[in-house]
Amino acid sequence: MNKKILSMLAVLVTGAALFTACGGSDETNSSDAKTESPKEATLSPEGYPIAEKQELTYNLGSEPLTIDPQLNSAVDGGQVINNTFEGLVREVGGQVVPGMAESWTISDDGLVYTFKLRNDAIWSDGQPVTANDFVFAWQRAADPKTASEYAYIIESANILNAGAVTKGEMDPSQLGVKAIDDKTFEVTLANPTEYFLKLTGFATFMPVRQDIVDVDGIWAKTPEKAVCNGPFKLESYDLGDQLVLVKNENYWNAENVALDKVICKMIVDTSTAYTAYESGQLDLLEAVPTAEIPKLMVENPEFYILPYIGTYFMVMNLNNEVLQDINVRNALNYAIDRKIITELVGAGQIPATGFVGPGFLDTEGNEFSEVSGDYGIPVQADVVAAQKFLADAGYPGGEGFPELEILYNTSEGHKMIAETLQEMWAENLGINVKLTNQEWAVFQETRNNQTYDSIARHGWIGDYTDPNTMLEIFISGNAQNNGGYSNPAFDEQMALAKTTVGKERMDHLYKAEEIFMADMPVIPIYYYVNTLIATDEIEGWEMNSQGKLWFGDIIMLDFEQ
Amino acid sequence: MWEPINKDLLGGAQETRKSLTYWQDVWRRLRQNIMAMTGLIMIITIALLAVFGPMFSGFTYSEQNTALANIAPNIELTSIGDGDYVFVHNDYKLINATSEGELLGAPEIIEDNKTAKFILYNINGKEVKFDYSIAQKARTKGSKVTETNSDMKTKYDIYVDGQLIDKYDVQSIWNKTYLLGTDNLGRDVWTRVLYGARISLTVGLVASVVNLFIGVLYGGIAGYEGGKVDNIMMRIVDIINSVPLLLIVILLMVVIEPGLQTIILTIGLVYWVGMARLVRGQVLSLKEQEFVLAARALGVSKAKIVIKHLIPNAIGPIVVSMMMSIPSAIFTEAFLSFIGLGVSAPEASWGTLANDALGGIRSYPYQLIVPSVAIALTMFAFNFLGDGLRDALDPRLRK
Repeated sequence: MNKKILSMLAVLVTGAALFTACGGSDETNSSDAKTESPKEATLSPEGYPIAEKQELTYNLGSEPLTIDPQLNSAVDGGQVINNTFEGLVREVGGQVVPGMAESWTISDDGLVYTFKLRNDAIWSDGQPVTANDFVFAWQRAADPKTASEYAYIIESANILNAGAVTKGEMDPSQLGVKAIDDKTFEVTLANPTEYFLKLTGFATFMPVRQDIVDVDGIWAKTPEKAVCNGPFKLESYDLGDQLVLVKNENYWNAENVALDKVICKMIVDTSTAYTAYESGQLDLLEAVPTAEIPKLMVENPEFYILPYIGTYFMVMNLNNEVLQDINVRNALNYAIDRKIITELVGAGQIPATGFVGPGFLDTEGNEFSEVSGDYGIPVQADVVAAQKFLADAGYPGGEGFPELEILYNTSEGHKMIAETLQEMWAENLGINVKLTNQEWAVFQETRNNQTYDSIARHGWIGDYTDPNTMLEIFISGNAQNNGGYSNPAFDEQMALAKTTVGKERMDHLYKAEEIFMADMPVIPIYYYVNTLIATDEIEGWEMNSQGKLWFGDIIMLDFEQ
Repeated sequence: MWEPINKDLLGGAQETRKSLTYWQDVWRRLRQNIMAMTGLIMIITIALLAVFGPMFSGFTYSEQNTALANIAPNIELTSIGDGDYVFVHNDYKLINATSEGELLGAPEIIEDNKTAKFILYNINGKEVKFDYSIAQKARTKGSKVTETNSDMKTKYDIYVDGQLIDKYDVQSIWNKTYLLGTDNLGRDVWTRVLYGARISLTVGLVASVVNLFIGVLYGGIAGYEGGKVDNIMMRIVDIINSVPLLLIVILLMVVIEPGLQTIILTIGLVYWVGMARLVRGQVLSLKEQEFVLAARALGVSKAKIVIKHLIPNAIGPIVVSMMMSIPSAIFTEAFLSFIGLGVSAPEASWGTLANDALGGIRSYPYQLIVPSVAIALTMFAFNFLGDGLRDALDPRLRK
């Protein structure tokens, strides 16, 4: 008897479940359920119910080497710094908006910038943010003793005496920055610089506290010591696993920051990260497996492709005798099919026929890359021209050509491109190329010291939206000039661009790129795009063309309410 | 009275058995073990395929055809009339094929409209419209996208000259151009797996040979000599064992270039250590037994005692450990290649093939399955053979 009742109950329950399941998929029914819910959900600006738990899980990708604003030079560290610190201004959608500075004045000659700091700008430990903090941070960045990889950006900003200070010829205190009073910060430039204001939002220019920092940047990874001035502060840091950011209640705009907590995971493998997203453990991630991209582009509306100002290229070691011949460099450049490569990487990357890609505007509002043209570099391989170049260099049909080497840092994507290049050169030019891969840290050292044999993989992401950021890395002696390229004519144009403004400056930059591309010391492959998966539950995320994410305006939604 | 005996009669009465040498006996017993013979045949087949296979596959291991990248061994063809067939690629594009399953390549594209989500192809004069706009139907914001079905057919429509054709009418056929499909650069997986077998088997072979010669002899000598000699020899083993493998490889890289030689040298330097310990332990207990005492009393030399008497008696654990060292050597090679210390691309071993396939595991699982199955089969074969050899080589089981 009992069993009978039980089994009947079971049938009833499953039946009911089935029916409700049917009802759930019905549009009208689900909206009914919504109005019936006892508590009226608060709505986000876009009109969706806001989740009770404001917690974001983001994949940082790998363990950042440092999250000290002046020491960092990597993308992952930059993402954390961008949300824990704030510079004088912030760039939102290409526009400069006030950050720590509430207003600023520029002298008529464009040389002196006076920033007025907010009165409510407070560090996370309650102390006010003062102009001295900026003076200290900027001097620290330029000081050769700090050994900041980004010290040259102080020079790019054209701050008075920056060159001499970074070279160690002058004391950091001579740098053209000073604190007029606690809340007034003055910067003197050597030459008028149009992109200076945008640059002040960059990580290297963010303030740090003299009484907190240490030489190695360990303070920034220690939650008790990490004092910051951005919308979030570090709560915990687990080596190789995750770091947790929590809302900084002392942030001047804290009332408009919705997120309580940001968990930054350090999942290196893209496949693992993608699985975590599929199972709902990640809300925001950048790198996805290459093989999945074409599918994601078509099927998944949570997958975004965003502009990214940067160029993927191969740098040629000009200390190698074979590569000193311009004909060889041209042959290598003309023999590759950039269209096939961009189709392989698959996320809508653009074949690169120059070095400055889309996303940079000149003074007339034209795309820099469109005006500069393609320098005759074919998007698809021009085998005839390439073979002719090789013959002119004295290697007809690739005969007697020594074996080259492509060095890349260990990764599935770089390997794929290196293998494609190898095959294209073998097929179109008849030359042999060896592939060697190294772990990222070792690779950087080999490339920076130019101890690689012939060709190394490189990629450069602009730090600000001005062509200068791309071209300046090839000035003789720049730390990123890993091929040993040096042309006085190029250097001269770049130096002239530093001292001029407006159209004249752009003309110098155009001229510089022309000289550079005529010398062809690199093999441009493609202009980057950024891929991002952001679930529908995140509203207000923002990623700029330099790839920097901003969590400050994110609101987590809950569609089930 | 006396006559010579007929020799034939004598021979007929005395049933003699040809005397078998030790190795003949081993072979006789091994042959009776079906599993062991299966393993042996498998190993020989794999080795022959590795040596000669790439010559007959029609492709080289580095030959790329990027237009035909990521195509599975088993494809579904849709007829578009007039004997023309297309294969719908997972990357949302069409590939032209024959009814037998031969791939002809990517058809000519007339228009690729990414916003309206369709591609117009010209296939033998027919205008074929591949419309994938329904892949992402009217989805409401917030509904789960990750739970979508994996059946491609629900996500596209094909129109031939404006006429919608039945997309469910497909024939499943084996890929005749690429037997086991292609990888992410359009290289033949079959050729690459065969080529990979060369590298993986070489590494496995070197590991086992090194194990056998260095490890067994070293352990045998240490165990039999005992005392001071044993102490010194085993401390050397301890020292080698305490240095991490990776460190040895990195140090070696300073001296020689990365490549197969480095891997072989590393394995040669390190892999015999475990075997030496195991053999020493066996010999320590065996040398106290009576048959060793008898041999010594008869004046058999030390070398002969170790080689003829002690090692054959310890053959069971030796063979088992040797067979186990082969897979671990193959995996070590895969790991070293991955971190850039092994074979350089586009050369591939089974380990690197499997590693490369990991990124596309959701859409193209066959790229991972093929090298994995190859590794698994080889391991099985070696294990079966090892098992059989252990029985066959054991002198105590000799009848």
